[in-house]
Amino acid sequence: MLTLRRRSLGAGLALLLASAAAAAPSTGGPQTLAYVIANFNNAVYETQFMDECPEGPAIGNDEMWWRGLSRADKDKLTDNGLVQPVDRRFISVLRGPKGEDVCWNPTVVKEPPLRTVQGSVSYGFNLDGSNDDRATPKSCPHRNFVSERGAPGVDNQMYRLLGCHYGWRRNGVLDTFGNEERRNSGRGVILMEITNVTDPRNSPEVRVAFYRAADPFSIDATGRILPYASYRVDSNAGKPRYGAVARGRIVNGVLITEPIDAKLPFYANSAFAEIQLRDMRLEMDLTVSPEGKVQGLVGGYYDFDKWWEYMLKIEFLIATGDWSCPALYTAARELADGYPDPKTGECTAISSAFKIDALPAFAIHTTPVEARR
Amino acid sequence: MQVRVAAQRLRHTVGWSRLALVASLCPVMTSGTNRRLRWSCLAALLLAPVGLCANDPGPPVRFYANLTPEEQSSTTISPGSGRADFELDRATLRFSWRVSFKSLTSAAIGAAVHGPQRPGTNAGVQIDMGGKRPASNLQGSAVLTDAQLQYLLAGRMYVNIRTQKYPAGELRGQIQRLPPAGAGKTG
Repeated sequence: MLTLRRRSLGAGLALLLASAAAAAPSTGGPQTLAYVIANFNNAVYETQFMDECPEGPAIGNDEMWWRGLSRADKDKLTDNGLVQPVDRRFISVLRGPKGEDVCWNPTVVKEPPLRTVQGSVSYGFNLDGSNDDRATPKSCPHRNFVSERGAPGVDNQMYRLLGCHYGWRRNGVLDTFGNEERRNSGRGVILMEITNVTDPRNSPEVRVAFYRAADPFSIDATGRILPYASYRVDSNAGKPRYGAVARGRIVNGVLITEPIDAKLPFYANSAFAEIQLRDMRLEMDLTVSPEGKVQGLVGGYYDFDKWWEYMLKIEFLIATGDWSCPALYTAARELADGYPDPKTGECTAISSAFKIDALPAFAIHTTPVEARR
Repeated sequence: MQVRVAAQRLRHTVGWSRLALVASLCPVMTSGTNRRLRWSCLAALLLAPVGLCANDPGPPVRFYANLTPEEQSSTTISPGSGRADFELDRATLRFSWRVSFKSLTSAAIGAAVHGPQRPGTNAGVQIDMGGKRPASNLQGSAVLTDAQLQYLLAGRMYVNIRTQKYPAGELRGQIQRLPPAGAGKTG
């Protein structure tokens, strides 16, 4: 009898609490959510046996260089194979006809066509709104992908370009190094702030701002980035140095933004670089994983010149990432599919997608006086 | 989806030969009892091959290497040449090879897959293919580790034939993926 009474009491209390929680009015007005982006990776769709690259991985600079040498030079310049590619990278890029650096002069030599992704599935967005491969007012002809969920019309020619390169794949190094460097240096940290959130699961109209954090990541003793840390927005005279703002909505816990042209701060592989995306959009599941992270996908047309500038800045990693500038540059020019130049018709941007994961955080807006302190 | 999963489970649990027996008994087992059960039984049997296809890891991945003295990291003067063909079974990671070579300067003393390394420099043995006195038309297989699979797919493995005159290696060839027939050439 006592047990039954206790059970009834417990059930009643639980019901009361549940109904109280459900009926609880939101305290105050709309909320603000903030996140700090921990990892920013090229969205590369990989199968276990690399079937998306039926010709195998792209051939890197070192192999191109070595095969172009005379037998005597092979022996001499590599000390009969004892000098590793990473140690000979400074001479292996000087393979233009007059000894030019082939990254700074990618058209001085002609190379076999780049091995690109031939698979049909990719992460990404339908950026040009078209499901077929024909040109649109904002795109050049290109082969679309299907998303991993089966949606047609996915534009991600950056994946087609980079997806067969060792350096950009899961076991490669470029994005991994980049993420670690940002974590350890605190440079180029992207802070996102979502305002006007009426309900974290469903908000019809929110505003999403992308800032650069003025503070490094807060990390624990094991090197993990701590959630719910505070980061100041990098500002000058009260104005954020970066501050692209997109309109968006939250549907069933997923944040979806409308396209904007944006510059995002970025630092990776010892290089400061801005990611300049046109028609940038974000889709991010705001459900926090057991590791304390949320995951999302950023997509847009990456300005070609900005992208190549970054590639030149990380040239010193050419042997580690294993790409070849002339083949990569030529293929990138051919695959560029966004924003045709009105005069030449050549596309000036390349469709891209990036997988991100972020941690809940607090964005602190400082006044000019506070910032000076 | 649920039917396909059910079909897969049925095939896994029962096996093909027993499945045939069950198929023949299916109408008998359910006769006059429950029509829904009978139809479910037959549908599962009909869809079992779909389940089989869903489990099919796909055709083996093929690789090859052209073996020449020029591929060695240091000067190697030899009229020799050779060819290695490989097949990788997706389900078991069993890596099978067939290696032929000719016109070596001296007797072969080793044939192995090395890695991880690119052309123009060297790495240690990953898979010994031929023992101490390998002869041409070598055949054999080994199960790859996950790391070896990654080296292979990344183009970081090579075949090396060692001889008495060139104990570090007389013929060498980087292992490359053989595109399946009809695979588009990139540009």
